[in-house]
Amino acid sequence: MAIKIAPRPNLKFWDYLYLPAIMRGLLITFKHIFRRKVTLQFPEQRWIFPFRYRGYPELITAENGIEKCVACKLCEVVCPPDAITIKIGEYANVNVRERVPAEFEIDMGRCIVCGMCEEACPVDAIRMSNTHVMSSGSRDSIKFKKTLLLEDYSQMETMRL
Amino acid sequence: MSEKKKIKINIDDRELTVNEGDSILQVSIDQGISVPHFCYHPGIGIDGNCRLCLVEVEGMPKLATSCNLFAKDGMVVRTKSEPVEKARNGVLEFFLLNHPLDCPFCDKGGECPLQNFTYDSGQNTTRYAFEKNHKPKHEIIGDHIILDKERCVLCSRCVRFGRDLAGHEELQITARGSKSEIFVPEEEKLSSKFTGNYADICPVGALTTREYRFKARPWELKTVNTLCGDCSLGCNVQAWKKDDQLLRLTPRVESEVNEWWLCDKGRFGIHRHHKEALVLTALKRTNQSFDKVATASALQEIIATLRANDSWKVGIMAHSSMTNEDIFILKQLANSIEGASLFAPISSNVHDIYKLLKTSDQEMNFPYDIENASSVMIIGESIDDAHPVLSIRLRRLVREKALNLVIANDQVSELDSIASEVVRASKWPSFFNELPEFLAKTPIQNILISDRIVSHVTQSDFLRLFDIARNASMKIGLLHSGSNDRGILDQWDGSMGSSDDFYNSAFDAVLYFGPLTAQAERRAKESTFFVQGALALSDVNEYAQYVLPLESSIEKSGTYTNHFGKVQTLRRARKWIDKGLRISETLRTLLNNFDSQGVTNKTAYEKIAAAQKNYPATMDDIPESTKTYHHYERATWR
Repeated sequence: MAIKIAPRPNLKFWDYLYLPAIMRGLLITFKHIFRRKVTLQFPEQRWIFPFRYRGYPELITAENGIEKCVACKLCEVVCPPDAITIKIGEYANVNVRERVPAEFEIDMGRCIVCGMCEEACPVDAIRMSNTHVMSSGSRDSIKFKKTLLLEDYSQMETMRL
Repeated sequence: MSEKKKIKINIDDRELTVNEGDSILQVSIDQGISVPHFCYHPGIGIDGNCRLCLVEVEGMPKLATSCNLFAKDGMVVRTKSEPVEKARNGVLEFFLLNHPLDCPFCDKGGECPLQNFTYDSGQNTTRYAFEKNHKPKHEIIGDHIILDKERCVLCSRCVRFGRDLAGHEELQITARGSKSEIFVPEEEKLSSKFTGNYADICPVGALTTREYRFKARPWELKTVNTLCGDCSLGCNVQAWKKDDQLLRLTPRVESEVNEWWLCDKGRFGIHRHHKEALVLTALKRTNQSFDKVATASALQEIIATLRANDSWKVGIMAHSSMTNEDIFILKQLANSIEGASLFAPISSNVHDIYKLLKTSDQEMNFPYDIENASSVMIIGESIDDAHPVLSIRLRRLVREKALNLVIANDQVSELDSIASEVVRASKWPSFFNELPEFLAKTPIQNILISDRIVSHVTQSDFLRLFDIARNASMKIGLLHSGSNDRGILDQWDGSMGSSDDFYNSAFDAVLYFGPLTAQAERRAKESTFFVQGALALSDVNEYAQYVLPLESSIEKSGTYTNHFGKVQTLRRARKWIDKGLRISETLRTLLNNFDSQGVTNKTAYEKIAAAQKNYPATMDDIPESTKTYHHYERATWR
């Protein structure tokens, strides 16, 4: 491969002083003082995500207060990084519901937030929430259990686990 | 039997040579051409009610159901043409009108024929605008079965299986039109011995087993092809496991043994034991309690004790659940210990009869002799209780080929109702005195004798019976009570003794496998050193100084010989006992330490097979059926 020599910029006296460039930069900054602010004071202020934003997956509760999930294990089998683990359980009253997950765990350390679980779910029980912020000191604590997954993340103050 | 005429037909542009009169559907299944069907099952027969197996035949004005379409010379059949696809799609749409969308939590989901057929040829929307029909769900209708009436497609497979093969008309179809449903008339409970088969043959999730309910989804499971070790028939099964959990047993299709079926006793036998109740490692007695020790060290101590006292008379009693290889190794062990002899858990009478039968030409070639016979006599066994799957074959033969079934027994059995003659024999010696007279009156082609009654009869009676059999070219089969009794009998030579010999002699040391009988307990009590091999902790005897873990048949690998002499492979499906703690492996390593012969399961089998006429030469040569009926084919779309 031929060596291509990049031409050196031909700088003049004022360019070597840098002062005009600094003034131009400051002018831009100065203009922004009068424009609408786009930064948020996180975590006190939060951004409203678009409806189809893919945050961490969450489980949905039906109107009768039982989780919608029927433990069909389709999300478990479709999950590319194998983050989901489900144990099947029987619901106490078979006339209301035959099957619920006894245990439902998503390892957020593995989750790649791809949304395939949401796509595979036949009963619309798992959805991608709007939350994308979480902090934790250990890998074990970011394995989300069923109780946590059923909570509405957006209502939670912080996701410090 | 007249040979069937061979003819040529054409299915989907494939030239096939088949027997005249074969069902087109069965030919297609055999050739791997997929034709959707619900009501047809090769084991249950043709009904023609589901209308799903429609095919196009050249020269016929309308589509025909292929199950009751019989092959004729020059027939041209199309299973994938446009009119067929359109009709099939229409029929499937009707099936799905009222079928609930339960697939996510239905136990059949993932291995369901309706699901697969809909994927292949159905449509993905419904045109039905009304509320679906609702029927009762999750009704517990038996010890093992749950019925979901909503999911039922009314193929009547279960109805016909119960009526024709299980001998209980316990499921029926009631009401008409869209209200018709399956119901259980007999006190709302299933009572036959084959209820597990309902879940197998049901093409949808209407009948499922309680044991497997909500345990797993089929794509998570791995299968092991092994044998059921509950009786001496040796039914071919597939063991389904998730991780290390054994979840269910389903039959493999083996026409020479169990056909398509499995009995409840064998199928649900895997759920009988809990891990906590079993002996999983060797136990050593210290004062009044047992301590857990490693099997290898326990065995080393046992053998060292036996060798240190060479003046001792040692009795080793095998168990009938042991594989052929285990017996071979035990024989070697008995040879390597001074004063030790191996005993079989079989009475000398049974051995004598077995030898008589072996040397005569009258031994039954199962199942061909029974399939082609016009009469079978069963002496001393209620087949329904002892070998349930064999009774399905007998019921089928009575129904299809008008088999003359004669039963001579002291107990009442369910088969009595279809027998053409029942002899209530309460005293076996007098029965055998009258038998020649009876056989002269009633022509019999096959006799099945239970080993249960052999001890009640003298050998001269049998010699007389064999004489009659030779003159009338009658075939005789011996039914055993232990699962591998035949394998033990095949290996029986001069160095082995019978159970009678064991009970009638005194020993200084006893190595006994299995739960103790009353007579064996006396032997154990009188001996100075007693070691027991036990399956369950409840089998452990108070006199035992060491207890060795005896694996159940699901835990073993090796070969079994069934009571008709068919050698079959057993594979380890459950791994509760750790590898190094299993008795057969430990025995083998110990033997290898002493004799340095390097015995493995394979070499042991080869040595056994070399001495036997009907054993395949190596373990890999043993034919094995991997065929299962299409329900357990898992969905291929993933």
